Amino acid sequence: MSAPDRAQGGSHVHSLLRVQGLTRRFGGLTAVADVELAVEAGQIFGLIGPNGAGKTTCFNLITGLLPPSAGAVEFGGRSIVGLAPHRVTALGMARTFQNIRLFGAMTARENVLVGAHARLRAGVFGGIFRTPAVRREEAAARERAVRLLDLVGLGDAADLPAAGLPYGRQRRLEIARALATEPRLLCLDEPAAGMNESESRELMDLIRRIREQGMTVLLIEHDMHVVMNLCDRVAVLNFGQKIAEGSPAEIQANPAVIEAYLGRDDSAAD
Amino acid sequence: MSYYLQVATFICVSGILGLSVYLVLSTGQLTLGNAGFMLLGGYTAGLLAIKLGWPLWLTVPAGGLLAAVVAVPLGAACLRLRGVYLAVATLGFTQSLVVIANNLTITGGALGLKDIPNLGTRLQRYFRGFLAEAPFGLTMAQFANLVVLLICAALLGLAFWLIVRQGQSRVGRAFTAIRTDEVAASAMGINTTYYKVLAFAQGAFLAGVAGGLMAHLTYFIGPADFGFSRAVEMLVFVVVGGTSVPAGPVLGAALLRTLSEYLREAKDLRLIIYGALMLLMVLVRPQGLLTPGMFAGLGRWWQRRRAPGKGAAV
Ligand SMILES: Nc1ncnc2c1ncn2[C@@H]1O[C@H](COP(=O)(O)OP(=O)(O)OP(=O)(O)O)[C@@H](O)[C@H]1O
Ligand SMILES: [Mg+2]
Repeated sequence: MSAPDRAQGGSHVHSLLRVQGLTRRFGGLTAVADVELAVEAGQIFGLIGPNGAGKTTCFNLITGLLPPSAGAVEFGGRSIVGLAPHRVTALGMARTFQNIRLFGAMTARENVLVGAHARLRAGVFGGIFRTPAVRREEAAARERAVRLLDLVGLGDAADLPAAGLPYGRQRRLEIARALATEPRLLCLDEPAAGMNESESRELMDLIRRIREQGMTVLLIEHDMHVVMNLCDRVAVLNFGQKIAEGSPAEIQANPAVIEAYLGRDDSAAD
Repeated sequence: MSYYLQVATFICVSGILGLSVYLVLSTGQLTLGNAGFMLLGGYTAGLLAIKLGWPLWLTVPAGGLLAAVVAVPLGAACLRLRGVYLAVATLGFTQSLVVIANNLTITGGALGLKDIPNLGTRLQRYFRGFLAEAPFGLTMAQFANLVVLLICAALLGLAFWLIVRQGQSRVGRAFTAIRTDEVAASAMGINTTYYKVLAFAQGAFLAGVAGGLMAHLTYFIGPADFGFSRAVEMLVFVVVGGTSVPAGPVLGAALLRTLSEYLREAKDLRLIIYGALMLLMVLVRPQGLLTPGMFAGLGRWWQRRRAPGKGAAV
């Protein structure tokens, strides 16, 4: 894809997330190459591609965990390149991790409370002496944590250590923890990985409910069934480059995408 | 009698030192800098008392405060380093303070600070002002030593309480999150640098206070009191007692202090035994003697007891 019509960005003005020319090199390897994305508020936007295509790296660049080699990332109309990850989170972007990164020794509830960190204010003094304001804040946060755990179906696991939960529940705990940051944009990195069919059906329901609550979802997923059923729009990466973008139906019919997935040859990007 | 009181007093001061390392470790950072902060607190308290005649209840917190103030820029610079590199950098800080103390005139060079006002002596003099005789059939010196012990125990208890309460708060959750997974913590909205520097400065404050207490418990401090072996000793308290509950370093300090009293004559042997103990712990029980699991049941019981009837709402 060349860039002939970059000037007429009129329809992109209101994009919640807008990525332009995003590039990241690791030594000789270009993991993400000149990627453009525009995620509109309220969308469920799918990001797919074969293993090693650069999807997770994209997430890391967008959320500030990795600095891009080049390119721009705008969130809510504001450039967020160079911001520390916690600042990006505070602006309303949350993520889960492909290789689950929960705080294993903490309970499910505590994990969610960590997610609420940026929305709470208690400092050293207030925390130690439990001022009335801090007690109120903490009680409200705990209540909210329980509600989020209920939402993802972990209401019964609130006091269990995260590390002891089965895999599928850990993935959902990651989602609850991310939701606790009160995001506008929720970035999910392969949330259905390792789930059986009924679990991934539940997950799809959950993601729809999240969208109904007014959040936008950016979704990396390998499970085509999930992607095709859930997403409003899908972008496809291959070898770091975006090779296609469109509705799920368009993507399914796109020869370049089929080729990339069947791995016939790497001439797909031309 | 006075001997046992003194040993118990030093156990309390060591407990504070253990807690100072524990705090930094609770954000996943390994520091050998607290011996340096202890030196800073000790000399500050000693000099303020000797040169300016400050009362001891002011010199000790002043030493802690100075240590904390120095810790902020040092932490901001060093905490980019991880694991062993951070340990080496902070050891460098400790050793350079030792060199400085060895060479300045005001610190008394290698001879150290002499004639530091002693807490026990001060108390004795104070009590003589209104007591004809010490209570409980003790001599006045014994009674003063008992009060010194109570003061140090109270300070240890206070530090312990503050750390436990902080640990249960938003700040404590941030510490644990950072220790478990710094990247995930930052992605959850935690300013990791801020909390690491905070823990580092809090640890420095405690080490500084312990240094000040040390200065006023002995009549003399010298650079050799605060070098590498002191830095390792504090670390061993935590490694042996437990790295993830505040009671761990206190238990570690008590055990190892007692042990080292038995090994008084053999100074070098002591370090060897510390080294061997550390190795043994790392191999056999890396989390230390006390673990969070031991306290979890206790915590649940406590919460039930405090919120009777509220059980249904939770
Ligand atoms: N920190 C890193 N250092 C070096 N190379 C990296 C790093 N992170 C990712 N890569 C490389 O960048 C490429 C893209 O990786 P990435 O994890 O983004 O792929 P992905 O699309 O998420 O794949 P998967 O579907 O397997 O999760 C891979 O070749 C990977 O080896
Ligand atoms: Mg990936």
